[in-house]
Amino acid sequence: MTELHLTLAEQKLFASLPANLREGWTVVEEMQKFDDTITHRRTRVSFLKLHDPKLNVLKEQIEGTKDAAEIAKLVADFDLKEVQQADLAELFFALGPQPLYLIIAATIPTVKTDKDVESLAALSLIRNALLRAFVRNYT
Amino acid sequence: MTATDALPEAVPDKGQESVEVRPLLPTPERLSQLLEMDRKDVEAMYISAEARGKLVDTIMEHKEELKADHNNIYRGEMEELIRVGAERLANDPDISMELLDETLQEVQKTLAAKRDFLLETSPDNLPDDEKQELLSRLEESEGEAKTEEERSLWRKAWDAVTWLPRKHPVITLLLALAAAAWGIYYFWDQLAALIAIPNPAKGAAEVAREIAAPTGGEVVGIPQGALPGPTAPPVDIPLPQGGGVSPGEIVPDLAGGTAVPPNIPAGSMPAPSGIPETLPPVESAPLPTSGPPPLDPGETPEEMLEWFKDRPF
Repeated sequence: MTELHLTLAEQKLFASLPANLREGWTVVEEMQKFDDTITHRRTRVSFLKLHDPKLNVLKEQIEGTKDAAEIAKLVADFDLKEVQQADLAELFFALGPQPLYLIIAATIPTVKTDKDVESLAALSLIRNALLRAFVRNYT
Repeated sequence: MTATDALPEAVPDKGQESVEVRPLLPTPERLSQLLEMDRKDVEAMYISAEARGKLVDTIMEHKEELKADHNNIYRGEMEELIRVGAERLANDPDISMELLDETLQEVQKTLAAKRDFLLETSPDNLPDDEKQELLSRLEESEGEAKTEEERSLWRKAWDAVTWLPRKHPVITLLLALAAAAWGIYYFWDQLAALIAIPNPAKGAAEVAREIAAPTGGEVVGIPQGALPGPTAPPVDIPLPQGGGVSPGEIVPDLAGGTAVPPNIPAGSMPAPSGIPETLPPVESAPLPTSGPPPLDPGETPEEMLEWFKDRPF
C-alpha cells in the first residue's frame, strides 16, 4: 500500500504535513464523484449483515442498557482490533463514500506517525473502491 | 476490477445480432415467461417462503441458459430479489409492474455494487458460489499474480483500518451505523444530523414496510423482527436538495441551531479553518505552535456531539 487517493483539497492538506511523513507515498487524485441518495443508503443498510462475535457482544451490551451515556462509553471504548475484515467491509459499504470525505479531511491534519498515514491511505483506498462500485452500478 | 468486469459478455454466434446482457429482475411476469410456467403458479410460489426456495432452485437449474442474457444469475441475489418482490406484492397486491420493477432494480443495483466492492476488497465475504465463479474469472482476466497482489493490498488496508485509535470518528460512525441497524438510533440520529447523513434506521423502517420480507433469507444485521418500526423516534433530518449528500455539507445543528453554510459540490471540500487556501512552500511553512485538535470525539454523548460539531466539515 503506497498510494493515497485524495481530492485536490485533501492534497493541499496532505502537502502541509512534514516531509518525513509524506515520504514514500504517491498521491493519486481522487476524481470520481458520486451523489448518494437516501434510497440507496437505506437499501444498503437493509442488507447489512454482521457476523463478528466482538460486534455481537457489543450489540448485546448496547441492548442491555437504555442509558445514552453508557452507550456512548461503550462506543468510545470499542476498537476495531480483531474485528473481521468481512464485517468492516459490510459496514463501510453500508456507510458509503460520503462520510469518508469528511473523516479524511479531518484526519489529515492530525497525522503524526507513519502508521497514521497508513490508516489514512486505507481510508482513501476504501473510498476509492466504494466510489468505483457505486458509479459503476448506481449510475 | 469489478465483478461485472470479470463476467464474460455473451458472445453471439456468427450471424446473430448482439444480445445485451442485463440483470434479471425476477418478477412473476418475467419468471413465468422465462421458465414457461403459468403466471398464477409463479405468484402462488412467491407467497410461500418454501415455494420461493423451489422457484430459486428452478432458476438455478436454468443458470447456464439464463447467463447468456443475464449477468446476475447467482443464488443469493435471486433469493433476495424474489424475497423483496414477494414482500412488495404482499404489502400491495395491486402494485404496478413498473413500481415492482423499480423496487427490484434498486435492490439489484445495490447487490451488484456490494458484489463489486466485496470482490475487490473482501472476497471471502461473498457467498461461496459467487466467490468461486467470480474469482476464477478474475484470475483469468487479470492474472493470478495481479489478483493475489490486490488481495495482499487489501489485507494490509483492512489491517490499517483496525489500527485506528479508539474514539476515531470513523469508528464512532461505523458503530453508530451498526447500532442503528440493530434498532438503536441515538448516536446515528445525532451524529448523522451533524454531518448530513440521512437516518439509515428511519430508512430501514421504510425499507421494512416497503421491501423487506417477513420470512426467508438470512438477515443477521437486521433481524426482521428488530427492524425499527413506525414507533421509531421521529427525528427528521434535513436532506440536501436533490436527494444527494454533498461532501463538506453541514446541516443545521439541531440542538444549537447553527447557521447553514452553502452547499459544496462533491470533491471540492474547503480547507478547514486555520489552514490557508494557498499553502506556502512546505520548506517555509511555519511549524504549528499548538498542533491540530485531538482526533477524539470524547466519551459522553455531549462530547461526541461537540466534537463532530466543531469539525471543519
